[in-house]
Amino acid sequence: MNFINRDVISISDFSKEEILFILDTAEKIENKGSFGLLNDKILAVLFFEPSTRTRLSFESAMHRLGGRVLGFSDYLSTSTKKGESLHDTIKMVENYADIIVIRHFLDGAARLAADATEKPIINAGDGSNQHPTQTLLDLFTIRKLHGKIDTLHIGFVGDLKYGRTVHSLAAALSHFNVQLYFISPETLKMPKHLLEELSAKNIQYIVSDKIEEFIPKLDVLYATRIQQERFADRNEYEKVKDSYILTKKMLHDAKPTLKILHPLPRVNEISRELDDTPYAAYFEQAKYGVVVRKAIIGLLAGVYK
Amino acid sequence: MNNERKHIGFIEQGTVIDHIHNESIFKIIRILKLDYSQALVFVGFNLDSKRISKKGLIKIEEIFLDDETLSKIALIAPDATINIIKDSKVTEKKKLILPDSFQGLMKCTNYNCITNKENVHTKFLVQDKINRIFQCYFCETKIHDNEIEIIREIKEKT
Repeated sequence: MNFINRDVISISDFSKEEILFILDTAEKIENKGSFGLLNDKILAVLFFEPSTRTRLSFESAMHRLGGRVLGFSDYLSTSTKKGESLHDTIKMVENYADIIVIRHFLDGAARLAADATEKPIINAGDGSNQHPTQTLLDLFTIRKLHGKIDTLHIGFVGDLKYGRTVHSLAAALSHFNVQLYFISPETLKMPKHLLEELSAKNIQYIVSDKIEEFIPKLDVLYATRIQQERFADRNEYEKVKDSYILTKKMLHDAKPTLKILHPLPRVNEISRELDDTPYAAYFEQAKYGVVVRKAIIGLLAGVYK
Repeated sequence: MNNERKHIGFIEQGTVIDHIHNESIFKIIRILKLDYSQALVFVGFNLDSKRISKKGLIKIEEIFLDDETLSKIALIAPDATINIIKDSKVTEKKKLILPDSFQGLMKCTNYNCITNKENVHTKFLVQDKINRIFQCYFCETKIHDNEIEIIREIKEKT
């Protein structure tokens, strides 16, 4: 499978075989030394909106491959502020780097960047649209913790309407034989067109606003934050905000093998009392972000095959 | 005599776009830039029709439309029919077919899409030709038939 110079813009650009190949590559390199593999390569990390976690994860991945990193994480210090188009910024950066990672506040920015250059572009989040490396690391984490993806019961809880990570992960999971649960307040329900796409692929799913009754069935629970600003009515927010906070008590009937994932940063949606339980997998998930990104960068650069 | 024959002029050579729903007529005029054209143009609203209750019609003398233009008409007036007129007779009837993708014709409905913020041509992939569902090439927003907003392609004359 050839990934050399390919763009990584949207999880929907990748077939099931390609997704599995990336996960397999990450698995293969996880405990292998890689220093010096990319010692003549430069990764540009262009962050038009701040995201410390994602940026550090990409930079760590490149450093571990022995490559160098340049870029910015402060949009206000760039020429974009002076009115430079994204196209022109990319045309400039392509002369300085071999692979370009872009994080942008506008939907579609990564695709535009990819069209502007022959150099491979990795989308590290474009507005509320896509964040494919997050989806790949989520899949990697699930497979790592359960040894498989097929036949798992996977629940999503929180803001399912605007949650980009939820939409992409659900779409990627539709390649597999899984049972999905979408648990959210009525106002933050999974968008209808995404549910229709799952139905078209014969994925079984349940939509509910109650979490407790589904907890005993779940192998994975993917939690996301409910943001107050998503509610037009503050009372509405106050009513629902605590019903989706995961606590030890809530997990009383959970399977011992249940794993809780979260794209982080967490605010209060997972109680800290769960951090020391075997359910907590969110910090491990962040750790796997580096190896998955190493695999992706290495595949695009052609050092992993 | 139906009201079309009675009120709309005849052309000798050119194109007739027939069976247009009233609300699509001005969109077609804009896309074909007929308001800036030197051609002889007849436009009719609320004409009698057997196929649709009241139809619109545009007749353009001496202008023949290429496939790209026809696919644009397919986007906004899928029920329209195209007749090619030569020597005052219909010599060919053309079918309107949606292309697989098109550029620069309509706006993305997603306010946060980069095409609405930077000077970039929009581009759409036609996801479902029957139900007329389009996907923004850049931000992946799905746009349904009733959400189409046409961009005026040409710069206004100054």
